Amino acid sequence: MITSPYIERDSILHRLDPRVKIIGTAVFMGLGFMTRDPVYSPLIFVFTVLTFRILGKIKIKEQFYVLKPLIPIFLITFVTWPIIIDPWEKGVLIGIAYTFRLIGITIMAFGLVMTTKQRDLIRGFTKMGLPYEIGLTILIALRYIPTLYYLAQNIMDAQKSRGLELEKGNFLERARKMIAIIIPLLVLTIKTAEELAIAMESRGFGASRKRTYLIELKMTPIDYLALGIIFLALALYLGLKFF
Amino acid sequence: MRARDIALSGVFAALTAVGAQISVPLGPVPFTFQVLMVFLSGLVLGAKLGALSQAIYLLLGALGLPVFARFSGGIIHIYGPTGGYLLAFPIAAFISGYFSEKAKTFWGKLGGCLLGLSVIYILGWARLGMWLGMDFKKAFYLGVAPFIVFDIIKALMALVISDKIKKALRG
Repeated sequence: MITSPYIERDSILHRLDPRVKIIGTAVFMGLGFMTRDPVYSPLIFVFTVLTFRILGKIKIKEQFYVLKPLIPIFLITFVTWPIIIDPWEKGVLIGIAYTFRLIGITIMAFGLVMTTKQRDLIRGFTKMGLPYEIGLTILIALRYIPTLYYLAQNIMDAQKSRGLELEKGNFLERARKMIAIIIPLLVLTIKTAEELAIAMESRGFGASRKRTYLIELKMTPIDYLALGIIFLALALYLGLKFF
Repeated sequence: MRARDIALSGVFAALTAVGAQISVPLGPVPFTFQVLMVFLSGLVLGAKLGALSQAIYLLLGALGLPVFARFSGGIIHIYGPTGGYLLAFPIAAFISGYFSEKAKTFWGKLGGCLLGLSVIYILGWARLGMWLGMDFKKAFYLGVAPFIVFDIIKALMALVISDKIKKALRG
């Protein structure tokens, strides 16, 4: 089922302002991608796992759980290197190093959504300049994924109860049968969207060029401290790399 | 943006996420509604809103939400071997939407869908090829050839569906 990767915990990372977490994730992912040294690459993985374990209180098993669907990608990443690099033993070692780096970067990205609620994430992006309309579109998409999923299941069950056999026939026949699922799904989806739009406008959406917010984001001293650490790490990395 | 545009883009992004999870078993190649929803978002919403809904879909996935195929998500999907296909979705939706707005005949719209499909294959093929050590021939046989017939049928399905939907919603 499509659910948020968010994990409720009482931790430093959870309490940080979402803007700080977004900037931190972007900076550290950028540093990770810029690291080319096969010796330092696996350290990215170690630091990332430990950071979310210690500061975010997310168990290592929970961190690895979100990686399970991505195992094929990691395997392709690893297998590619021995093919490209001669001798293949060196390729294996480089493949191991770079695969761990990729896993570390992936955990960084998931860490952001594991420690931040969806709404707070959108608020953070909006405060940093994302147009409000885009943020609202994202929230609408998030809100309606489970609704439309169950709607699709209901339509399938309803059509099956009327004798539609989805698992029989060749490809073309099945394609024609799927149309009987898609059309009601789309009609109901579009009607839902139009009703939602009417509800939004009747509540004053777009009536004023300047809008107010129910919840305001506020930076606390620990947020500024975290920002300082992030930019210090960035400055250190750039200093070591280019001087 | 108007409320209707925002609502439609949002629910179509959600619909693509749902479509990516619904699959019909068909031997080796899984038939999901993901690509079908890309075409439909362009055909039903038009070029701009269709592209926006697909961009929102990619944003959700990039943020780590499990909206890609098999309830998977994460920026790695866009960076990884199949990222080219995903990045082509907004472009394909825009192209099919543009042709559905401009073309008057069924064949014109089909041409638009096939052009959008070509963009998906070109970007997907390029990225997969890079990932396989610049072996583009192998990438073609892995990532393009097995899907062509099925995806053309999806394009035809999308055209039939969008036509019926416009009739159903008119009135």
